[in-house]
Amino acid sequence: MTIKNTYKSYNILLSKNRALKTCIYFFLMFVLVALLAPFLANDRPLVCKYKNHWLFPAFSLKQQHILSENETLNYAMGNDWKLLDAEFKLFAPCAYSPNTIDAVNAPRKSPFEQQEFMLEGRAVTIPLQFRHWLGTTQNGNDVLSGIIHGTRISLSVGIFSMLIASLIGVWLGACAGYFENRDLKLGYIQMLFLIPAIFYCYFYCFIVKAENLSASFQSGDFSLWIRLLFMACVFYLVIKTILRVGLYIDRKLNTAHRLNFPIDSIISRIIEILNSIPALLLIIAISALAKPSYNLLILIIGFLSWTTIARITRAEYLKTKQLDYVTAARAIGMSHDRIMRQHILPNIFPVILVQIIFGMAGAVLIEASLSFIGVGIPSNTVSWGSLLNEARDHFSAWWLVVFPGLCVFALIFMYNRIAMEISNINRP
Amino acid sequence: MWRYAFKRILWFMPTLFAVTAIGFILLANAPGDPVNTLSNASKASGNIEAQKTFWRQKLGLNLPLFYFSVTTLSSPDTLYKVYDEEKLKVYKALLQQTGNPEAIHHFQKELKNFRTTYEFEKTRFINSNDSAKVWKLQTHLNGPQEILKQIDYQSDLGSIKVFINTLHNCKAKNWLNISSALEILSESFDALYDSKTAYKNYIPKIHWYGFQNRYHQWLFGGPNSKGIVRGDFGVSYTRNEPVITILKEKLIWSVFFSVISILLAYAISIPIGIGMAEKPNSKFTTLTRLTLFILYALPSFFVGVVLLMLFANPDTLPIFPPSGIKPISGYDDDASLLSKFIDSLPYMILPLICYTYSSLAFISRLTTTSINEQLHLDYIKTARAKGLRNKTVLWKHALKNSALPLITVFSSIFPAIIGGSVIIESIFTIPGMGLETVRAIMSQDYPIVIAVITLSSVLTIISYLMADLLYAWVDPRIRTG
Repeated sequence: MTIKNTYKSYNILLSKNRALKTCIYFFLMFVLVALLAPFLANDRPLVCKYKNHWLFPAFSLKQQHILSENETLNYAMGNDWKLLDAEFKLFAPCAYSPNTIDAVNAPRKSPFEQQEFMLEGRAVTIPLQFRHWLGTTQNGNDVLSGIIHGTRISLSVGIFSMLIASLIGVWLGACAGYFENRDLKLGYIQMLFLIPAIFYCYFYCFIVKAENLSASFQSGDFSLWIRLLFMACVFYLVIKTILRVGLYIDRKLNTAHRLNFPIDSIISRIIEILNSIPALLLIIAISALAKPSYNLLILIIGFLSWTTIARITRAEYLKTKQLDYVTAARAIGMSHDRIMRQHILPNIFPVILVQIIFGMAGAVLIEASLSFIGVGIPSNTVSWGSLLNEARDHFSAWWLVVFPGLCVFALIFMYNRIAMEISNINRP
Repeated sequence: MWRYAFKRILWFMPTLFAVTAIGFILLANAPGDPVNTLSNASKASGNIEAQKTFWRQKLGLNLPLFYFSVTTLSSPDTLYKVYDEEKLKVYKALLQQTGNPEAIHHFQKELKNFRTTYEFEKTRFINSNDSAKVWKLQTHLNGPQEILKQIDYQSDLGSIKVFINTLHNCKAKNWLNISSALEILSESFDALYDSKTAYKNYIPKIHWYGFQNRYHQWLFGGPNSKGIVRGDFGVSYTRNEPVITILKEKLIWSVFFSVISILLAYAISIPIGIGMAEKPNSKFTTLTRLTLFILYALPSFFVGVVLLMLFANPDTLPIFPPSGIKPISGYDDDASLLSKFIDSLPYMILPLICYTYSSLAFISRLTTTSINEQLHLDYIKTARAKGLRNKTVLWKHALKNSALPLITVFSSIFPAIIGGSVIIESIFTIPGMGLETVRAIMSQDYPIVIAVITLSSVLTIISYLMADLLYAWVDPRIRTG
């Protein structure tokens, strides 16, 4: 069965499963909200005509706009945009950024309460367009805007951390399950070269480049990913080359015996060790050591939660490798690599996908829990968990509990439901 | 059975070792210098440097980190003895550029020599000349001093070269007899600048330190500590008392809550699971399944805050106390354990709900599936054919044989509950390990954080071990095959 056929049959099943379809539409809605967040909730107007200039402040990254030689318009004026005397203004559906401070409605205004608006120094009833539909927080930040922007954080933490986790987990699990302890055979020279090669890669990446590594960890910005990619490339290229060279020498020397590489034992042991540390505690501890950032959080969650994916993948490979089509592929001389990637993986991918989606729900939960207790996430970003955190000391502010809480619940419920439905399709 | 148990315990040793190593790596990489914090906190009078040395020795920071070190060929083995972070940074940067530790040492020694000569000459000049002349020449005389300050924290060779050239051109040479010292200094710098041994930075070197190292002492104890194998996790940075005395009572609460909630979860969800297996297509099953699925997706912090908002809020229903674990006035002095328990009961109900609800779905679903697997086996048919009641068949025959997965699931729930305790304890302010962890992280008290991680990992490993042994005890095929 090729990849194309697998997905064709999945499309047919998908069209019949209404619950799955609904959940996927919901998911797409979340994605849409996350992608369009700056245009759904922004204190800058989307379109604005000011002194005969057509401006698009919400789409602009600039901090100011030069109107004429001696007149500039400051873009970062927050709530004052609403008072700007422009010819034409079109605001986003929610006219607040998550960090915009609306001092008039400052200490926690309920959605149903009388909300106020400062117009020419007098407090008047707020225009419908600028109402805080889901209330405000302690500092007067808009809750709806926080929720819209929090969608970005929750979704991206879930998706990207699981991207890392599934890359590691599927790869290691496949190797452990397919080769077990006896099928990955290396020649003497290969084995002799392999161990120093791994050692040298470790030495180069972690000791020679130690300063750069710790610098990118402390900065927590995009350089972290580049550094990791660089390290992965070093490991991959060096090991690949060494194995090739070793194979060549082995063939020249014509050594008959080959050694078993106990890859299954090694990977199972690593999984056991990682599983025995409570993940949430470890994540809290690691993120307390470095400067909090979302990149780091994604990285840590990804590197700690691949174990479940690896276990499932391993079990599936163990089962599938005994089937006839794998034996047939082996018999016509296909390489292990190709069988693992092109023959087995497409067939078992739906099973792994279930685990990946469950993992996304777990990652969302971890991120929300961390921002709820206020550890390991940048303090100036508003997310669902941090909104909930504000309600802990003020139970009267029910809107700070209900709306973000329901959002977390909805996202996790939806992930779980999708995973459940797919696993039901897998086991008819 | 004993042989199997012994084998399993041996098998868990490397895992235990790795877990402690991870904890130690985290502790060693913690930012900030604990010596500063502790010597400030102790507030003892006396020399600050002596205080620092005392704490450094007490914490074992004057020892190498691990049994061995993997370093570059160029870096010296005694680098761990440099405590000044700024100096270490400069040193490492110079090493990175030259790969020649001897030349760096030489240069730094000459720099020191030059400074002494310069200070000496300056004092002599000031003493031997009248103050008006000194005053006039002051800026010129102090010139080298400024430059030397710059050189100290300069990590780029090129910039150091520029500064040394400035030293050569400075006017202080006209009055002070420092030219010869300067010549020696620039010679040593040239030797450093010309050394072409940067390749040494790319050659690994393994150095064996032996058992006098921080990890060994942290694990097995040394002159100042008993080691974590004997329950000594070091001293709390902020409270200045042993971590283990802080954690002892906290551990009891955390373990109490996790054990009670696991038992509760089993007690509730096994009947639900059996009920669902009994009538697979009834309304009860559909409804329960949906409810459990919703409960499974509810985040615990949300549930906790909502429960507090509804049932511990004077505006709504003030049934339960909002926080803590015992009455504010404390227990009576002569209270028995039972009456203490009854006193604390209202405080425990909301947290226990929070701990328990999420594992219900998991366990009951597992019960249903594993009983369903048994239901079409022959022995069930036999039991039914004998005329036993359906209830007896399910509870006595099927449940016993489907107990295996329920046992294994215990070991996967345990770490989740320990981790979840961080959230639940900080919502309900239960004085357990989780709350202590959050407090410790906020105040950068790393020994407590690491102790919590290590302790809970060890607890988890023990729970795995127990599950394994139970598994082998229930199913003899495992220990023999």
